[in-house]
Amino acid sequence: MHRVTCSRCGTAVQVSKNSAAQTSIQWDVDSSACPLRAELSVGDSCPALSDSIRDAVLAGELEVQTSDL
Amino acid sequence: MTEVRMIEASAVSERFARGWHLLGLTREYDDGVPHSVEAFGTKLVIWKAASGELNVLDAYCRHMGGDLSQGSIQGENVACPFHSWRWGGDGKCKEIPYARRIPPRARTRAWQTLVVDGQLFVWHDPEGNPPPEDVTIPAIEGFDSGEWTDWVWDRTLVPSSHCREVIDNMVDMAHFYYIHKGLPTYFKNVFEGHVCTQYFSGTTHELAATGEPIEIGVAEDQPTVSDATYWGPSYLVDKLWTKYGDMTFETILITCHYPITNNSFMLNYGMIMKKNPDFDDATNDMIATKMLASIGSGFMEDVKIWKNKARIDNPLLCEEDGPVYQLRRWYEQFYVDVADIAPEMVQRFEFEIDTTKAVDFWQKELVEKAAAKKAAAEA
Ligand code: FES
Ligand SMILES: [Fe+2]
Repeated sequence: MHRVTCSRCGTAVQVSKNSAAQTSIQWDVDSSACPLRAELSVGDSCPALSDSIRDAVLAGELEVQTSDL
Repeated sequence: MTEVRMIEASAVSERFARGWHLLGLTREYDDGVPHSVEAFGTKLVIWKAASGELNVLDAYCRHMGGDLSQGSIQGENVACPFHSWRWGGDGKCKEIPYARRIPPRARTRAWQTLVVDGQLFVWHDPEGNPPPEDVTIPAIEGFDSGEWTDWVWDRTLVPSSHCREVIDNMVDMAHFYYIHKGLPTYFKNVFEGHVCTQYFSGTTHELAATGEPIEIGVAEDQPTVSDATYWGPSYLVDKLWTKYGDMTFETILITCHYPITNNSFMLNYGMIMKKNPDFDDATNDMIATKMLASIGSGFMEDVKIWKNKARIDNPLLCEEDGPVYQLRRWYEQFYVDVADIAPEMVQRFEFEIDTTKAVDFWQKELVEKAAAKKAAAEA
């Protein structure tokens, strides 16, 4: 798991990716820390956080790698 | 030497989950007699009082053990068939017709009830606490608006499995292909608090077999689009859009269960369908009934697997499998005391599967099968 900080609200979550399309996000802070959370339905990911995760991959900070299952 | 993986399975929890559990539809209890349901390791009696209120008590009478569900409704109370003690919905004995006085400790277990959109729920908590305010069953928007059909409903007994098996389905992407003739193209889970969600989009074996290219990873505009949420340990609300040709049917499918023993449960499932304005009510009801029957036969496929499979605590997963361990960590919150709920059990967790390889392989397989079938038919 790699820590990714949301560029919009500064919340940091643990992220791992085993492919471009696969994403796993573990929150260890209350999700109400995300200012968009209240307007999103529970199953929706925060779009700002998703962008930050994409940026972290592009910047080489978050490696797409086989996870230990 | 290579090591062999062994299946691990701890003993089944003696405990039943904390949460709201659906027992049935309220209309089932309109017939003027008490009903019985075996649940939570015992038997319950359900009756509709003269005032219209639905009551649920332990069925075994605290006098001499008579089965209240075999008795009769007397005004607000249920009367035991054995010696006619009358019990109220609050669990108190209200009357003993042949006695001068009611023993002061004549009180049995009353189950807290909740009625939402024609469904009856009871609250179960091994610690005996009432439900927290934020733990409830959401009402369906527009349920009474006339835009939806009435409930079509069915149930099936699962005789030798713990209800964890049905929960596992939430993350089990591949079984939708192998068991349910579906082909998921988008699959995502989110767990948070007492809520667990699955986003699913996909097509069907039949459509995929045509060889028509399938859009991968796209959530919208697939033949099946589903947004399913467990509200607590046992009640799943699935907003489901199904395409047949150029028609889309919008339904709300409920899949829920209550435990009978810790190794058997009753699976309840039912749906309402948004009425298609081109059809009359009878036709809409008929379509809903047919859809539910086909969903029901899908559940029978699950039951067949459950009846024969091993209980497994250490599933061996590949990268195209959903987050089984995190799901079970979420599910565990309902089996521990509230004070022992660990942060990880309720903290938000999101998981999206990469379906690329699976969709590609499955469609090839279906196209080949269809070609082989055609060749055999022509030979
Ligand atoms: S056992 Fe119920 S009244 Fe006696
Ligand atoms: Fe299933």
